[in-house]
Amino acid sequence: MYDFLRFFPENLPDLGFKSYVFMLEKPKGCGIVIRANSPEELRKKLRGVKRRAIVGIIGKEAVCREAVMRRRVDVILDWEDRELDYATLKLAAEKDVAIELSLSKFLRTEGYKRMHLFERLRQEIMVIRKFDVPFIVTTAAENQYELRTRKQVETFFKFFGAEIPKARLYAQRLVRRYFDENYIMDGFEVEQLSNSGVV
Amino acid sequence: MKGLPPSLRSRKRYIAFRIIAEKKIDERSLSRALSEKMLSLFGECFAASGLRLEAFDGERGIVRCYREALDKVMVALTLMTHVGGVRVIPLTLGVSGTIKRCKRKYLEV
Repeated sequence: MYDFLRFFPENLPDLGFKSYVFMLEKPKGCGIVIRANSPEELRKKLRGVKRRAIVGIIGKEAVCREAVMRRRVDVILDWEDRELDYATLKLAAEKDVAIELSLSKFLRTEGYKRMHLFERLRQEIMVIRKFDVPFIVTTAAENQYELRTRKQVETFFKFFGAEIPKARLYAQRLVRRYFDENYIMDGFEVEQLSNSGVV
Repeated sequence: MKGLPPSLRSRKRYIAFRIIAEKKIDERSLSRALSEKMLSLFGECFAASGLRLEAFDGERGIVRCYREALDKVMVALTLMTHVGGVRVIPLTLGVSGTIKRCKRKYLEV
């Protein structure tokens, strides 16, 4: 299980994750965050991505819908005002773009706002289950106070009906696609390399 | 209810946790914060969970709850951000069926 963070922590306690992916807007993490206000802006910014890294998108409904149709996009990142419609989730399943479900937005909100977020989460999970949409569960922590253990993150989303083994699988697949040289595709990987070539 | 035979008593679970806080927090405020979080999240109807803070030394502790309410308590513990005005990071260490095993497995160094 991998956690996707939005900051570089100075010293990280053992939280039970296999490893961490740092999704940052500055080009120094193993993931890149692209914020866009319109589909045009998104397309423009995506053209500028040259580095081999996981690309995450933050934007409004129209931006998310455009993002799932772009080949360079790997994950639709989660934030407080993210809105995904039914069609976007269905497209995400077809185009193999992961949907992030994050815990930190629930820590930053209270009361009615959080109530609506819970409702939206429940609906998103319902559609995710229906179309078998790739999804990842993360803390998406922006500071050290939003860090939680793997068990906590998994229990939280399990409570709302998410299938945690699938989330683990999708996260692993996403990370291996970029950072494991032996990985080719699902169920197909290089076991051993000899001097003359693949064994 | 008092005097229930063991077969009718609700089963319990013990959650070992660790709190990382800016300042020192006491047992009472932690217990209150957790109960309030349960109440705000699940309402008066569904917040009953047999919640009780068994032990807390300022950093590590054990909280008891009914087995059926384990997930709810874990969610409430996860969503806790402040205890008596102090910012905290609650981290669960593990869950056990007995307090003795919980202490031995998760709290003894």
